[in-house]
Amino acid sequence: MAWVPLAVLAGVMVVALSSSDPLMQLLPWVVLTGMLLFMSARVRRMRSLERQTHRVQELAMLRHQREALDAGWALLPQLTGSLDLYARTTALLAHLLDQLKAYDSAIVGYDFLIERLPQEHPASVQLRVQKTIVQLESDHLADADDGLRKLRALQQHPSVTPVQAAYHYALLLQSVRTHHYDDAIAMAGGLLDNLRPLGVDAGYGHALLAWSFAAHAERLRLREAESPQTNAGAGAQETHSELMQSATTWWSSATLLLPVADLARRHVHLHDFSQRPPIAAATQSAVPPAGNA
Amino acid sequence: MQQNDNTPDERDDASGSEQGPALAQCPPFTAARLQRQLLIDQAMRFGLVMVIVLLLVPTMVTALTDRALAQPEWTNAAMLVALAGWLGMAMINTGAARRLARATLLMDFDHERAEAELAGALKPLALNRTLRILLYQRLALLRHRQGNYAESGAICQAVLNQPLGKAEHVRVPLLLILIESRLTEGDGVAAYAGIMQLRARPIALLESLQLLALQTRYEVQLGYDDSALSRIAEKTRMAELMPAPQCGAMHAMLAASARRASRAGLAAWLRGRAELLCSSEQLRTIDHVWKPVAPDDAD
Repeated sequence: MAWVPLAVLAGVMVVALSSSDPLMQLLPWVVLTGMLLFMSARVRRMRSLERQTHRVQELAMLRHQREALDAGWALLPQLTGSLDLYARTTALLAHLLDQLKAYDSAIVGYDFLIERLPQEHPASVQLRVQKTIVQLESDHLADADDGLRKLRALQQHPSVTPVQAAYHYALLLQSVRTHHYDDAIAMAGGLLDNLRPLGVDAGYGHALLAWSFAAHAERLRLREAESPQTNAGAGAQETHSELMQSATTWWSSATLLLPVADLARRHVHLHDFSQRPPIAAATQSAVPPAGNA
Repeated sequence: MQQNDNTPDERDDASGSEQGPALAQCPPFTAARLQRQLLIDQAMRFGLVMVIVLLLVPTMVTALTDRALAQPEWTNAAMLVALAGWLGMAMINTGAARRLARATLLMDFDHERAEAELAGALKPLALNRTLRILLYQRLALLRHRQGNYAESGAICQAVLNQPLGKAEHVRVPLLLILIESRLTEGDGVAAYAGIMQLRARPIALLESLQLLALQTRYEVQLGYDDSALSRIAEKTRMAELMPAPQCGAMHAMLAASARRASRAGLAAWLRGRAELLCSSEQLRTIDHVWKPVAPDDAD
């Protein structure tokens, strides 16, 4: 298609040169000027659309999700001429819907893009991880399990990228959602490093791990209460307090990165959890302390 | 960039004899070469446009007034040659623009091939001015990523000294590279001048985050702790929008500043977050590289 304007120009030139009419000899220049004007208008329009897409992305970055969603939705029909901008905006809309807990709509958005990208494309992998997280959040556990199995290759990479970090978060979320707290606890060793590329959002993972430690401790306590003879009393007590100690440590780092309100907004059960006695005492501030102390 | 007495082509030949096809390199940058290239680009384009206009005048007069002016027989042939020249220049520019796009893609993971693309794109004469400026901006970025801060700073400075015209949008990225280069080289005065220029301009969110990181680095490096720690809540909130390593680095720098300013509580809070956001290896590098210097040294 890029050669079409040149072919048109060449055709006009042949016509012009084969004619002796002076007006015809001006024709190539008129066509050339028209083409230049058309192309510069097209470039200007593309730049304007890029600026508007950029603005939507900035709104999303600043966590103004509703404004970003409205602006992105209004912009989308104008982007059909640019596949790249269209795909970027669709991915952003899906992410925003996920943030606003419109999970089913977010899945539709992710599916739309995943179906149109090659399976091994980096963007496709990222979208599949995000979709899996949304499926876990919305209790589509079987679909999410299937998705995580297909993404297993991500575990074998030597360095942790943001996509791999999101995958590790998805694994942790799956363990919590399916109440396999011991599986979640087994991830604790490398979790700090594995979630680090998420930045402050790693706090969500730390909070889930704190919850897992506390839930596992609670299970042990109940089991011990039901059949006191099967466990050596002091040993069980020690394990329980060690688990609670780990829970408070992870909660402490989670709240250092993110405010409790944000954690509870994403995972509702964390609201009550944050008010339990040993956990509440470990809560830190996610905003800098004032004064010189 | 390594200094070498050989010309780039000679270097290519020397390295190519041992391992696979040689990749072209850009010669060491000089501001004079940039100016010369821009001048030649402009002269060639202007010359071609003038030839076409002169050849068109008799045709236009004939067409518009019905008064046939005497035209030499070779006018049509000359017109064809001029048009071919114009199309040739358009094709050269298209090729260079494609190389620019490839270099941009390669820049993250293959510096040598990115440089080869840029070297090939910068070679032809009569490039579009905007395109040449964009190519030099990418070269500055490449040199920056290669750790050649002296050359990246020199390129930025030389390009910024030229009227940017339609490439005005690269002014902010060039200033950001320039500031970081100057800071890395310990030139606080030049870095401050760049920061002030950027602060006077409306900039996008991503660029303002980069500016925030650079300004904080400048203030911490030069020991201006009060400035670094002012509006700390807003700064940490903005830092949270950066990728994790940069966010962690901001926290580590601010922690160093808070410690010096005897704000132990704030220092512990910032350091605690930095330790969660950066690996211990990253933190060691940050602590080593961003050692504060006395303000007098920079002035």
